[in-house]
Amino acid sequence: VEKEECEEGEIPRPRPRPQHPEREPQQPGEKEEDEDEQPRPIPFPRPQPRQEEEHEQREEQEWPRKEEKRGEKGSEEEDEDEDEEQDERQFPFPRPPHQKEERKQEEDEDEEQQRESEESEDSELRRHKNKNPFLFGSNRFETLFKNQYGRIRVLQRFNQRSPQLQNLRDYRILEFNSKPNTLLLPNHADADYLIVILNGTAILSLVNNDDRDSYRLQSGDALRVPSGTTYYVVNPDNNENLRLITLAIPVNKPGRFESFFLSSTEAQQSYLQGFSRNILEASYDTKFEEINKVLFSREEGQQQGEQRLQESVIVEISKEQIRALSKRAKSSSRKTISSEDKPFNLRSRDPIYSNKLGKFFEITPEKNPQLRDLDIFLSIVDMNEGALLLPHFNSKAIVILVINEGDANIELVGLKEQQQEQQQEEQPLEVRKYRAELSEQDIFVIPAGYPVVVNATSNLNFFAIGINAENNQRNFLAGSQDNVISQIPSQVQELAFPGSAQAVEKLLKNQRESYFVDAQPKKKEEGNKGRKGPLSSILRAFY
Amino acid sequence: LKVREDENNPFYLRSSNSFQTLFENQNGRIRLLQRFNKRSPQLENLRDYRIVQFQSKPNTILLPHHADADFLLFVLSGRAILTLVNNDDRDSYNLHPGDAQRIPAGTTYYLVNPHDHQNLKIIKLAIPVNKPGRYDDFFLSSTQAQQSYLQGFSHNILETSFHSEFEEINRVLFGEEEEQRQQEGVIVELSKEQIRQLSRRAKSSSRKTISSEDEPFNLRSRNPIYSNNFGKFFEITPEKNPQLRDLDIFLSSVDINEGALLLPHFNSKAIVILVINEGDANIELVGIKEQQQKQKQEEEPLEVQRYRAELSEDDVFVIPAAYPFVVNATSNLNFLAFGINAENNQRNFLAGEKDNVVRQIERQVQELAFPGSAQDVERLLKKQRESYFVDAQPQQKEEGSKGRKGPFPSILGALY
Repeated sequence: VEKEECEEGEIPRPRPRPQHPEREPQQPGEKEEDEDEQPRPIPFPRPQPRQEEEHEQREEQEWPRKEEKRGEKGSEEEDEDEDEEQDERQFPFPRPPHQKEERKQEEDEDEEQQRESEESEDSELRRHKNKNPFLFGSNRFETLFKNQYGRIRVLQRFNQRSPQLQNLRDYRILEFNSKPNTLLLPNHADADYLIVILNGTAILSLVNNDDRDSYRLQSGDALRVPSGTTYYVVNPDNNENLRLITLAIPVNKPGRFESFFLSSTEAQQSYLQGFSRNILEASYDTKFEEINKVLFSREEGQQQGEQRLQESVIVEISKEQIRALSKRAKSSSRKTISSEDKPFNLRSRDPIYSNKLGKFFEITPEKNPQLRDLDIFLSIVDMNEGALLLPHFNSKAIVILVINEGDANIELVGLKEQQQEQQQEEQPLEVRKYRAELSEQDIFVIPAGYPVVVNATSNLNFFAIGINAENNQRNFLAGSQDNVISQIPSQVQELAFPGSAQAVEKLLKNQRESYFVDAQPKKKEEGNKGRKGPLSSILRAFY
Repeated sequence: LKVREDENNPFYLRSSNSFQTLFENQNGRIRLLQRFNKRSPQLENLRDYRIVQFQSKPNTILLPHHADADFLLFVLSGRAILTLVNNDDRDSYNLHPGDAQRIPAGTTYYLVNPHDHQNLKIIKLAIPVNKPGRYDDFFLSSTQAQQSYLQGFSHNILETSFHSEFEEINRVLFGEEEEQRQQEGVIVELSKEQIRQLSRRAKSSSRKTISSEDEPFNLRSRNPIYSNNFGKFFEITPEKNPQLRDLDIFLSSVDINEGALLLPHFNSKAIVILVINEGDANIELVGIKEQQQKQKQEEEPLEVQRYRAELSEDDVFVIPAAYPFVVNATSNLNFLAFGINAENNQRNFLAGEKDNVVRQIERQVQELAFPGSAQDVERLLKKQRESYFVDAQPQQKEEGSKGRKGPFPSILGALY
C-alpha cells in the first residue's frame, strides 16, 4: 500500500455527512444514438473548463486507429493504473503532439525504457511520482525536437493522465530550452500561446502579414503569441541557456496542435513543400528548380544543397547576426503591464504577499488584456528554504505549477472517491492526501477548491498558471490575514468544531504571520526566546 | 509526399454524399450537411456548427417555423422575401444575392421566392442552442410531410388554450380529417397576387445597414478587400457588423476568374467553411503528417501532408486555422466562406507582393531558415509582382505579355 501517497482518513473525526458525491446516474432515456452529447451552450469553443468525459471517450473511439476503448469509469484507482501503463514512458523520438493516443501500441518497446529508467532512478520515488495523478515528472514530457542546440518538449495531455484533469483537456504545456547563440527557426502553430521566460534572455520576433515586432525578454517576462503568428526565438546570450514555458491553447482540435515551419531541415519539411510544383511556380512566378534551390534544397540526389540544409529547427547564429537582430528589439517595462500586445513582467508590480520567508507576485486577468482574453493568471513565487506557503485553496482557478528552481514538498487534499457499495453503507466521506516531492522542471496541478500547502525544502522559485482565473480568490486556512475560517462567526464555529469558539479563536490567533511561515515552528519558539538573547540577528536572518 | 484526396480527405464534404435531405418536393428542398465532427475528429471544434442548404422554385413560400438554433442566412442566388415574426412585431426584407441576415433562435420566419423565373438558393450556418450540433424545425402548419407542433399538446389543453372545441381547432389549424385541405409539404406555391401583397412592406438591404443590429447587410456593398484582374475578395468581419460580432463569424464572398489562383496563405485563427456557389476549383491544403510509430524510431523527418480536392458547385471544404492553402479556379468561380472564431483573424500570405509574411522575416533569419542566401530569397519573393490573385499559368502569362504589344491587346486585356 502506498502509505506515503494516500494516507487516508487522517482527519481525527470524520463525520458522516448527508450528501454523497455520486456521479450523475446516466439517464437511460438519453442513450439512443448520441449518448456522447453534452450540452455546450457557448457557440465557439473558446476553451473553458467543462466536463466532457464521455465525449472524450467517444473521440478516442472515432479516431481512425486501432485502440481499445477505455473501460467505463470504474474506480479511480483502476483508471489511474491504466493511465500509468499507458503513459509511464520517455520519448526520445520526435513526434507530433497528437500522437499520444497511440501509445498503447508500443508497450513492448516502452517496458524496456521503463526498466532502464527505474534502475537509474530511485524506484520508490518513481512509483510515488506515478501514483499521484496531479504530478507530472520530467518523464511525462514528449520530445518534439532535440539537437545539440536545444530541445522542444510537450507535456502529455492532462486528461490522458487522469480523468480528474478532464477540464484541462484544451490546454497543453510546451517547454523550450536553447543554448547560447542559437535561433529557433520561424514557425507558426494552430494554437494560442502564452510564453513565460523562466531563465535566460530571449529575442522573440512576431511576424504578421504586414508588420514585425521584436522583443527582448528576460526571466519573468510573459507574452501572448496569437494563433497563426509566425515567430522565431533567439538566445542572444553568450553563456546562459534560455528556458521558456508555453501554455498552448489549440484552435482546431481540443488539446492537439501542429507547428508549421517555413524551413526545410533534416528534421522536418517546409510546409511550403506541401503545395504542388505548378502551384508554387505560379505563386512565385519562378521555375520550380529555382524555388527548390532557394527555399528547400531537398532532392533525391541532393548534392549542392545538402550543406545548406539545417540539421534541425534550432540552429547556431553568429554574434554578428545576433547584434543585427538585437537592434530593433524592445524590452518589457512597467508601462507595458496593461498593453494589448507587448510583453509584461511578472515582477514589475509589488508582490501581493510578501514577508521575510517569501514573495508572491501575480498578474491577474483584470490587470492585463492578454491574460483577460485567455482568462488566465500568472504567478511567480519565491520561497526561502524551510518556509511554508500556508494552507489555502483557490476559489475557482485550476493552477498549473511549474518548478523553476529548488525543491519542495507539496500536499494537496481531495476527497476520496468511494465505491458504490460503500456509499450504500453510509460510510463517512474520507479525505485523501496527495503528496509529492517536487524538484526542478516538475509540474503539479492544483484543482480549484482543493486545499494545498507548499513547503520549500531548498530555496524555491516556481511559476503558476491559473486557468479560469477571473475573480479567483485565494482562501487561506491559517495565518492572520485572508483567513477564511476567521470569517466564520463564532456561533457557527461553535457548531462546526468540537472546541468552543474561544478555543478556535485562540488556535487561529497562534499564527501571527500570514501567507509564508517557517515550516518548523519549534525552532521558531526557540528563536523567539533567542531573540532576546545574543543570537537574535542570526535567527532573524533565518526567518 | 502523401496526398490525401476525395474520400480520404477529411476536410472535403462533397455535395453528392455529405448532405441529408430534410424536405423535398416539386417546389424545393432543404438539405442538412453532415456533422463536421462525424466526418473527422480533425473537425472536432466545429461540432457546434451545421450547414443548411435551401432551394426553392419561383413563386413559392417556405411555411412559417422556428428552430432551436441561431441562423446566419446568406443568399447565393435568386431573390427572397424573408419575414421574421416575434411576439410583438414583424419585419420583412427583400433579399438579393450577397445579402446576409441573422435569424435569432426561436424566431418564427418564412421565406418567399417572389421571382417569376429564377430559383432561390440560400445557405445557412446553424448554431444550435440546446444540443451541440443538433436542432429541430418547429412548423406551425400541419402538412402531409409533418405535423404542426401544436398537435403535440393534448386535446383538453388545446381546448382550454384556444377556448374552443377541439373539432373546431382541428378543422381550422390542422385539417387532419380532410387531407385535401392540407398542404403536401412545407414549401408551397404562392399566387402572384399574394406575392405582391407580401412584397409591399418588405425593406431592402442598403449600404447603410452594414452595421445594423438586425437588418440584412450585403457582402458586396463595400469595396473588396483584395481585388485585381484575376479576382475579387469581399469580406465583412465581426468588427464591422454587430450580427457577426455576436456570432464571432466573418463572411467572405470571393470571385476568381478561370485559370486564376488565390495565392497560398493561412488564416491566423479562424476555421473557415468554404461553400462553392458557382464554378469549379482545385484546392490544396497543407497539414503536418501524422507519423507512424516505427518511422519515429528511425528519426525520420516530420513530413507535411497535402490535402487536395476538386471542388464543384455546392461542395463544402473546411480550412483549419493556421493551415496553409491555395485555391485554383478551373472555371469562373464564386465561393462563400464562413469564418468561425473570426475576431482579429489575419490572412498571412506566403507569396505575392502584399501581406506576405515571409517577406517580414528579417534577412539574418531568412539566411538561416532557407538554403538560399537572403538576396536569393528576396529576389525570389519579389518575382511575383501581383498580390492575392495571380494567373495560375505564368508561362502563358509571359506569352500574354508579349501579345499585348501585338494586335490583340484588347482581347487579352479582357482575359487577364
